[in-house]
Amino acid sequence: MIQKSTIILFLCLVLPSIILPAAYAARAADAKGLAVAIVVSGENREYRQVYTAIKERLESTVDHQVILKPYLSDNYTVNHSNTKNRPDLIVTIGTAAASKVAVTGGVTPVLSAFLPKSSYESIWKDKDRPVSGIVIDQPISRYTALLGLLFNKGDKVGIFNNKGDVAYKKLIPLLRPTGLSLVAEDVYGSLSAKDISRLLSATDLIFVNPDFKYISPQRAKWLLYMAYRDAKPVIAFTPSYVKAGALAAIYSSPEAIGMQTAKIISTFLVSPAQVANAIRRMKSIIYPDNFYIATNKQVAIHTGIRLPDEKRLEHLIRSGERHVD
Amino acid sequence: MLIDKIRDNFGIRGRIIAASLLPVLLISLLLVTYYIFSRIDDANKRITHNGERYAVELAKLSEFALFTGDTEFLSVLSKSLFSDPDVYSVRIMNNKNDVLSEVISPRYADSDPVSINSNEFVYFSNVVAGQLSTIDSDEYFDVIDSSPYPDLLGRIEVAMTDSHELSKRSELLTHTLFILLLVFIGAFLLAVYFSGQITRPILNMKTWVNNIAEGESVGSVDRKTGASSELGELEEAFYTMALAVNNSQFELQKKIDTATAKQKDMIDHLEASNLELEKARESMQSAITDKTEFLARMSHEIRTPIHSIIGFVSLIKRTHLDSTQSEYVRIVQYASEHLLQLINEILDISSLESKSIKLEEEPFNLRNCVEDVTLLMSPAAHKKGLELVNLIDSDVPIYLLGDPYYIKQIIMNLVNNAIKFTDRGDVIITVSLLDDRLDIARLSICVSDTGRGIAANDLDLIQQPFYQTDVSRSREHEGVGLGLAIVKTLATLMGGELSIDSTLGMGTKVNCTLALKKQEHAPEIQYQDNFSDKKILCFDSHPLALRSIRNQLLTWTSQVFTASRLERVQDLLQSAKDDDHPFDLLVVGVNKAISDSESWRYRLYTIKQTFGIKLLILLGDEGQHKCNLLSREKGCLCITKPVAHAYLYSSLKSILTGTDTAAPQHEHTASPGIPVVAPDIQPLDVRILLAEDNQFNRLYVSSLLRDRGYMVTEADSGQTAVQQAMQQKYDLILMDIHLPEMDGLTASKKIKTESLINSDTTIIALTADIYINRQARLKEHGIDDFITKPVKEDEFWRMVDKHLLVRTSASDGGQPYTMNPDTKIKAVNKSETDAIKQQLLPRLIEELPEHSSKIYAAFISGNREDLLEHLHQLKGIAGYFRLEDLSTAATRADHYVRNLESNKLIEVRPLIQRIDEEIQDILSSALL
Repeated sequence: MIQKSTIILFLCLVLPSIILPAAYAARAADAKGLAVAIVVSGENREYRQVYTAIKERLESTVDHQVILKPYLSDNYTVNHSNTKNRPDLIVTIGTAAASKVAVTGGVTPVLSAFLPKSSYESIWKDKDRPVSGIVIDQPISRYTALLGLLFNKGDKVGIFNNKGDVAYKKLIPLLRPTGLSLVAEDVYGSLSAKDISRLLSATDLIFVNPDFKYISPQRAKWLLYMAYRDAKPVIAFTPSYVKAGALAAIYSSPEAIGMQTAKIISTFLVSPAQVANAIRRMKSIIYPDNFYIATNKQVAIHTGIRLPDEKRLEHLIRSGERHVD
Repeated sequence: MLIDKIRDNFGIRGRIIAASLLPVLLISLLLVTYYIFSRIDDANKRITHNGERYAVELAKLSEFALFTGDTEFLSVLSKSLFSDPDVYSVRIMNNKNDVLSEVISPRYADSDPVSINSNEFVYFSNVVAGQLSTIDSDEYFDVIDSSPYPDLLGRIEVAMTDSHELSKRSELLTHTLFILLLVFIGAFLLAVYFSGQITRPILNMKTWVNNIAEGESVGSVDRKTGASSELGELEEAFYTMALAVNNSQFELQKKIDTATAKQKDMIDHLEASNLELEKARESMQSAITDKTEFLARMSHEIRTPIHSIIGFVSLIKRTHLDSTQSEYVRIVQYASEHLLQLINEILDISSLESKSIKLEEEPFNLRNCVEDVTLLMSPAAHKKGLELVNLIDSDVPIYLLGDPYYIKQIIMNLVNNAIKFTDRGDVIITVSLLDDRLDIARLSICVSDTGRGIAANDLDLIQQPFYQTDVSRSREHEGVGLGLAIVKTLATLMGGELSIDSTLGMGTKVNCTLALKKQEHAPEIQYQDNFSDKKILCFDSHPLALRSIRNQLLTWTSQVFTASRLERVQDLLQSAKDDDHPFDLLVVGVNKAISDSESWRYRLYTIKQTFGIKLLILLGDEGQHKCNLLSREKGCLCITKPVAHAYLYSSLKSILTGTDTAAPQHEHTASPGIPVVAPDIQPLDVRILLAEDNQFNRLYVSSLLRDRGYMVTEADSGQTAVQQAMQQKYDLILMDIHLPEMDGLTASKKIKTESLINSDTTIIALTADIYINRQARLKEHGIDDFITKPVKEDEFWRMVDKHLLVRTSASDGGQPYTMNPDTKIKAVNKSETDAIKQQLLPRLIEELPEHSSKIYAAFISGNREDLLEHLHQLKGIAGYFRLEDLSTAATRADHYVRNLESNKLIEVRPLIQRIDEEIQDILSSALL
């Protein structure tokens, strides 16, 4: 009995005396906060906007718990032997920053923000590292929702496709509920007038897919011109397209992506040591939560499209997304 | 030239028109040129600008058509440019340079491109797709497969041509020139109109002036020209003035006519006076010429008999005469010589005044000139107890170019005057250098004396011919007062001047400056013996004489010491002896002051004995007889002062090398500078060739020579003299210049060049022509010296002895030579002279017809030289036999022939006939 009681007493008195200081020590380490290295692709206005949004968001919500250490991608280096000063997380802003960090190597978890989905995929493909990306592309469902809101059933949606790429086929099931059909024009090399003419003659509208790589700003001008001449609307992915002659576009601002990135970082404060695991648990590609719609009323009048208010359209799409979620 | 011609030919009107039109024309041309060039430049710029603009704009417009390949649209676009006539063609190509559209302007479509005579300018522009911002984020550019370079769609070529511009340009030029022509015509018409307004009144005024000048009436001109304003007023005023001038001119003309008539009378009168004056002048000139000719002729005529007088008087002196006869002969000799001197001076001044003297420029030795004069004048100076010293400064160039005859004459006249007017003291000849330029030396020849001096107011006058300071003196001292006048004239001719400084009772200093050229290659003096190691003490109580002898000695040795007192001589000799560096020679100059005292000879003898030193005693004429004792001593040589430089050298050589002889001689007739020591050579050894055609001269000269015991060979022609010289060695040759068959110059030259045995024999010329003596051609013909006729015995002997001395010195190792002391003067008594004449008289009778025939033959054949030769011989014969009339006729004929040209010899026929008549008279008298 004595032995049992002695063992229980030992367990009750000695173990806590051993375990509690270790736990306290761990807590004390956590109290330093989350060390985050932010690697920015350049000094462009949009990168600064993303960084500023991250910084302001973190400062206003988790004051001084996240230690941000910014780097320009050109100056970024890693000392692999120095494990003491290794950050808990690396946040990249833009494609160049992501590429530099990927090339530099290391095991620190990475959060790549503000880059096209295709770039993200090509950079982090086959990299065995905890990484997740917040892309600037909108989810396809968001486009199909917009197309459904603006066009009538039976209309044919034209799309230019990189020859050999089959990703566009994901649109087909998504368009089906809207009653719209899809016509794809494979293009290899520069987009020519013949390509445009052919697609315009075969469709009622053209959706410019952000993944289509053979459309330069010069060629985009002629696409918009020819489409306007044929009174066929163009749906695109930037407000500039709308200003240039597209009917509507869905986009996310740098601030929105920065805010979304800061929000994700702040979730790691709960367990900074577990950031890697947390990232591994996250989706590989995270689309922007917040988005905007831009419309061109003049084009709408010219093409005879009844165009709802932009906020209304945003609301309807968000509602549809919440409903789906 | 053309402008000057136009300017000279243009009147006022032409000038006004030109002045109006030229600026208009120039400005118009400038403006038109500027306008045309501006237009051309603008057109070129416009073409360039339009071409570039068309290319750029067409590129923008064709962008879509190129993108879509719409060639039809491209063609339409291209044709839209053809509204501009400067566009030639438009070509549009895609980005692969495939021509999509090429259109030529319809304006040039039918033209052959080659026929378009213009330039074609092509402008390019690339068609680039314009950008449109459709991508907001740079992130998408990583996705898009786009090039960083502009998207090239194609190229536009717009060809512009200036052919249209060229046609416009020619049109512009035509229009512009037409306007220019109109402007010019308008300006010309205006200029003509306004110039007429200005020139018409002026032309009217000019016409009036011409009328006035030509003596016409002004009123005959229409004075209404219509000119207004100032010119009209001027015309009116001028017309009024012209009328007034016209009237006054008329009045003036009347007065001028009157005055002219008076003046004409006066001119006629003056011309008559001038003619008379000209006649008078010619007459006077003729008189002057006649006077000069008369003087020359008479002087010459007088000299010939004087020659005989002097010559034979000297022979008479050698005969036994009583004291009265001797005195009479001395007076005759003195008077003859004085007369000869006067005649010579008259001849000189006559020649100088008539400017017939031409100074020669031949090389000569100035020292010799001075020494010759000193030697010649020293007897006269010593006779009066005067010290005659020459001082030639060491920097004076000795070898000069000039006329030594006249330089000697200058010095001679000055020294002669100085001796003449000095009773005691000395006469110093100083030659110094005033200025030495590259080739000209300005010399001062100063002759100073201690005579009675000249009053200040006479200093200028005595330089005038025939002026003498006072009558009594001129009587006391012979002369006609020509000496200084001759010197002054000669000095002026030689680029110098004469100045006289004198104080009554103190003496006179006459300074003559001369400018003489220096010889380029002065002969280098070489002395056989070197006396540089000889130590010589020089004594003379006369400081300048001491300086003179010292200067000469310094030529050979630098160890020359001087003393002016005998006590000092002894001290110096003693001191040198004590220093073991005794003197080698004591040179003693004996002047009158010393020679008058009796003790000097004893003291010199004592010095010689005490110090064992050699003595060279320089004696005046008066002291020679007082040095008997000394001159017998070994190591003692007495020579006569003044001492010539060359002779001093030979004397030094003689005494210092021990070749001197002790036997003294006191030959009073010895010439100055000739040593009075006996020679080893007997005079019988001396052979002399005498070439003289005039038998009387020949007789006289040969008598002189034979009297001394010389062997004389006579020759009466040049040819004979040459033949003699080829066969026999002679010590001296005396050669007359005027010789028959071969003249003396030619004969001398032949002897010097062809004779093996007499090529180095001295030849002395005998001539009466005082001007020929100084001719350089004497030397060119090998003649070494000359003696002027009539021959003066002392001068003759000085010359002969001088050359015999030199010859014997040279040939006998420098042994001085003088005449044999034992030689007695061979008396030539009267009976001998008469016998000579008697002997010659038949020959005269024989030869006179022959002379007459030769003269006639020469006259008939026109041979002027032969005629002169025969006349010259006849003059001599007539003079010797005192055939006065014949002599006068021959002399006159000789004078006229000399002054006549060969083709006018006929003019002397009367004189030739006169000579013939005289000869016939003589022959008739002789036969009777």
